[in-house]
Amino acid sequence: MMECYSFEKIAKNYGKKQVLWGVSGKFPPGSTVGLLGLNGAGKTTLLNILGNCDRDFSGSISLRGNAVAYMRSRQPFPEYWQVREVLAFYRRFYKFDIFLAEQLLGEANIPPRSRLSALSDGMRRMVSFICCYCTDAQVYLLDEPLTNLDINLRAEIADLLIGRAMEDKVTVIATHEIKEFENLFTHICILRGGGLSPLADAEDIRAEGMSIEEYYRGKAK
Amino acid sequence: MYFKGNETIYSQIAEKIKKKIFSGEYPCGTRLPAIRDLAVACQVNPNTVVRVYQQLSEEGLIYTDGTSGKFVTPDAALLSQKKREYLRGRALQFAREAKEAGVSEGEALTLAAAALADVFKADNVL
Repeated sequence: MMECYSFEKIAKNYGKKQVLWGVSGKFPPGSTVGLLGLNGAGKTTLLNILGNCDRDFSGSISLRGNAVAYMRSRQPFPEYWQVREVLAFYRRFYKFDIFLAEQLLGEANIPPRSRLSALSDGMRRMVSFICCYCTDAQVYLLDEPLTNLDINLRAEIADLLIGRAMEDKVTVIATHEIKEFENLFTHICILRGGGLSPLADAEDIRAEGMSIEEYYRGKAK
Repeated sequence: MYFKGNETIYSQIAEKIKKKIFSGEYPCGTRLPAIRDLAVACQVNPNTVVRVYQQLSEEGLIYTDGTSGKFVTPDAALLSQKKREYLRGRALQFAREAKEAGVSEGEALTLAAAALADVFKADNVL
């Protein structure tokens, strides 16, 4: 990917409630962007649109379809499916590295034959993360990837993201857990009142003597 | 590794590596950790580590040998000069703080001398 990943004037309403008021963003290749915002700010709404899960919106997006891999906050697969069936689904529809996926599942001690209903919440999220991570795409969207994960899996996810951060891709992480990711973010943008703040360089924020959290608190209100 | 949240990460890592070079933990010609390894060890974005190595290269402390990695400069004379510059910078900082605190030059000198005596004496006992 040589050009920036960009989206323009994304607007979305749920009935009379306008959630996004023409949101625009431009993320350079190689960036790891922290998408921050209070509960209900519209982070998931925006990611659903960027991640091909919601087609009912206005605006334009530079990369869509298979160029985008999306880890949703909730997996849409039936509870009775086995983990390996989820992998087979991904392999059927995406460019998917199933060998890497099986290896990562093994490292996380998740049996491929286990049914989704038998997995803990954290393990299910790990399955979602692995499916997203092993999909060959240009843009990776992660919605609250650390929720309900224990410290081992958190560390595993951080290491995997670090391992890939040098590639010419864009990773967008929507999260509340700023502390866990703040040193991984190259850029920060904040969703508030249906609008997105301009992309800020994380090191530039620190160079001004502010931590990411302080910057966020100042902008989120 | 713990980082202060309100200072650039790259400068904090650069400082750490500089100290290791000056103390001799990374002697002349040593190979520095690979970008990815250091990024995982510090839990930071590898792009930050790239910036660290860039800065240290510009200062002449390290050099890149084609594809085989980054190395501490083999120039011992340059290293000791850089070390002096670095320490002079720290001393300058102390001097400024002393002045701001309204301490006289003589008093500041006494304080510094006492601190030096403490530290070097402790070393001699060991």
